[in-house]
Amino acid sequence: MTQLNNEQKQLLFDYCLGLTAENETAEAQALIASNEQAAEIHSKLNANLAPLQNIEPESCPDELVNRTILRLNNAARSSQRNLEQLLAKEQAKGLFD
Amino acid sequence: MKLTLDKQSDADLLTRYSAGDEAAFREIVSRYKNSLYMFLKRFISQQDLVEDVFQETFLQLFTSRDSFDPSRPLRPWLFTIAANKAKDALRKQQRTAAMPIGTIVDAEEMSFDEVLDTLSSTSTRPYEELEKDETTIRVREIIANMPEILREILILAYFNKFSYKQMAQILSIPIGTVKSRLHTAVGRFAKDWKAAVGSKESK
Repeated sequence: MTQLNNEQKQLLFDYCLGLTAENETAEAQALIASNEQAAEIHSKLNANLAPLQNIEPESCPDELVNRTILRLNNAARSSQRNLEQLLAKEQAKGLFD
Repeated sequence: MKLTLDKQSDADLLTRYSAGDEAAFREIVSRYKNSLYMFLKRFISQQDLVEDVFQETFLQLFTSRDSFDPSRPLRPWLFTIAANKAKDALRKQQRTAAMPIGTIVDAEEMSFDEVLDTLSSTSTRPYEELEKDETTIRVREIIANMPEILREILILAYFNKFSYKQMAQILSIPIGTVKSRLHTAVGRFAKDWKAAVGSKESK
């Protein structure tokens, strides 16, 4: 059996974490199919990462989204007001200069 | 109107967002709400902090709108803001809390081969033995107690599927450090999981 080099081990690691691009995925799958050590590393990594799948996705609560939008609207209004005040000040300065 | 917004690029939306357009706020928040919320839930755990940081992240996006580079993707930038705000919130909390929530520096680096040695074989660690709810609780506990820098990288890579380049950008560290830190995080999770299941089995 051919010993894997570090690059191949890294490829398997990335594959198990779902970080490989399409071509790398195919490369990793071919490696797993053809090399015992690769198959063993793949199996171990998958088994050790599997508990993480228990953390299921949750949706962001609508109420939190609405609060965020409200704060953004307030920030935008306040920023617009500041801009208008600044412009008014500059215009007034221009009139009296 | 909604259809048009749906199809707009992040950069176009952000231009409207910067001008204070409410519809653009809604679209950007809606585009990233779930992935950002889940990142914060996994990273911070505490609901009140998660909600604060979530809101502060989008507010910061608005206040620092002038520094956004439209040629770069928005998602990593948003997560950079969120990760920094989350770390600030945790530090603030740790200064006042009696119980530390994970540690910031306790993260001894592991080589790739050390990580592989840490991994259990499939036959010796049948986590299916635990009830699903119990497993979820234990996994959450392990993640919450991991050193901050390992927890962060594990979540960004495993759950949010950021590329190494994007993670390097989000965390402002070199790609090599991202890789070694992620090896360590996986090794640490495997070690802690083994210990957790072992303690269950010995009871």
